[in-house]
Amino acid sequence: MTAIAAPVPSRLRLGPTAKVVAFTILALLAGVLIGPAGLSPRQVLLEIADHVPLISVDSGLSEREAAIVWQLRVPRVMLGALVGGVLAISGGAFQGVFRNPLADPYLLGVAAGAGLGATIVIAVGLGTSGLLLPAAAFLGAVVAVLVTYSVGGLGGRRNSATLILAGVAVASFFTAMQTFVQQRSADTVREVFSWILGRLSTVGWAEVRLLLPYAIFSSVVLLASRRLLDVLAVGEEEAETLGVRAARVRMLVVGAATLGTAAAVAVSGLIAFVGIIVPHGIRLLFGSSYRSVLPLSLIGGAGFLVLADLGARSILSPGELPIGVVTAFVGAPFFALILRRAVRGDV
Amino acid sequence: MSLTALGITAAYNGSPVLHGVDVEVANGEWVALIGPNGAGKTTLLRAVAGSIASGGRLEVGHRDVVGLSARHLAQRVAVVPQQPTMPAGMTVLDYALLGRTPYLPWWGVESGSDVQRVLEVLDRLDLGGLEGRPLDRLSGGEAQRAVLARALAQDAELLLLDEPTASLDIGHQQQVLGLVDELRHERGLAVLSALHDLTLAGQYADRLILLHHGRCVVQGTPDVVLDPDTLRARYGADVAVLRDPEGGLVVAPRRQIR
Repeated sequence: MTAIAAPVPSRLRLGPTAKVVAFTILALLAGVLIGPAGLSPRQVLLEIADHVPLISVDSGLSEREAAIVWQLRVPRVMLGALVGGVLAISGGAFQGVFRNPLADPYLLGVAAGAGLGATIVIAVGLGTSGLLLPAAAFLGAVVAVLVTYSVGGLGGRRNSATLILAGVAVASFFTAMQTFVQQRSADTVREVFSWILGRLSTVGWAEVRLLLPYAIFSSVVLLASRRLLDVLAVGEEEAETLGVRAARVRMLVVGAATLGTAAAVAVSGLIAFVGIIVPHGIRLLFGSSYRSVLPLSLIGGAGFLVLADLGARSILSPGELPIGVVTAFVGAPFFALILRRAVRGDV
Repeated sequence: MSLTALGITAAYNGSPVLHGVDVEVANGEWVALIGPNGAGKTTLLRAVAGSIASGGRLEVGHRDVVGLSARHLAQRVAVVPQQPTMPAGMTVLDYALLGRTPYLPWWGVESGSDVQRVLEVLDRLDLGGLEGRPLDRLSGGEAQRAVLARALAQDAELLLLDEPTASLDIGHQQQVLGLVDELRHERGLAVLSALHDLTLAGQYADRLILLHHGRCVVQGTPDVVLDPDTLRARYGADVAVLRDPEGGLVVAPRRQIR
């Protein structure tokens, strides 16, 4: 006779967590071990271990090879993990707060705002290196969302639907301005385009250091809000009768997700679909409670983007595909599948 | 008195919908709001629940709700909406646990005693054994009991029901209303409900309030309110009010001969 397990509420469970963590660890390992330099995996791992505090080992790599590991591969993998994690958890949070399975972190104009900021910097010839480009992209993204919020709240009727509509209007306007700026300096189109398609090519740790505080802040706030997102699943008015100020939760979640996304976009460009496919993949595999969707999206998104980046730099090696092309290539069919399910009311 | 609502006014887009309605509900009492479509029943419930802005004096448990946070109001007033949103894939237990939200800090999670409390409620509503079932796989009656379970988990003293039987067959209507009736006696719950079905309103509620164009036109026991002439005047309906052998009233529509 088998004992009947006591009913337990949905929460983050060990099994799914272990699977997603294992996936991401494997992706991180693949990210640092595979590359055109043909370094031995053992030596690469020893070189990484040598940088762990209190551990000192000799990897046997030359200075140049050691730099390939520690100044190229590892920061690139870390950046991919941070960007992927932030985009995925922000996408999951946006889907919860707007109760819209097709919401992504760019919904309220982050992408268009960042695009405009970056295009202006590139078009006026300030270049794509240094901190000016990410700063302008970040500023553009935050300004776009602030405009969306103020437009969506006109007349005191700010709800999810008006915010999404305002986001559409603001994104169109910012995109039009970006196109205008781009047309005025056609010689920079290639650079702008390369930024828009997203890239993780990095030398050293600057971008990682830039993104890390935002990624931590955004993830902590979103993870702490995961139960409230489950409450919002019953709609804003019912959530209010359960004692939750829906507008406040929405503002907090949108604020945290926007800061994280804006910082991610600022250092990596516009990487599409991660914010949709990862949370939906987690939902399909492990259930729809935000208590598990958000943390597992954060972890799984990190692994997913590192793998996508591996594809981006391996498929046309020694050339590179923009990573946004790889994520969109996987994401577009998946997006169509989600759309089909959403139309049928299964999501 | 569990609910004291005096001179309640409310408007939608600047058009007044309620014009100074008074409602009082004592602990353990069931008051039903009746009235034709657009009379203001749902609006009154939404005003009491704090879902819309309203004027007038509103006290729950002798405490003015002005200045009460959403959380503290939800500890006193639980709502069963007319068309509750039931997220597909959410389990019955998770859904009922949402009712413990008013007792949790902003970023807190349910404790073992919250889960225990909800399991007791589910047992009481004969939902024991269905805790892990997704909401989209429940029958109409089970789904309505799940919504009731969420409301009861709030441990509020006032229960607002907006057409709780609208989508149920006659058997499930009796089952759900009978359950509310038992619970209000067991727990001293004050119940304020909007009911379209006049027979059900007359059978279950202690008092009826007939609203018309946002005003209370008659109130009192079912014997007083369910009067054929009053109903004809307010609903434009030709009805017979019959007394069943148990003493309850049955409101039966009659075919109008033209």
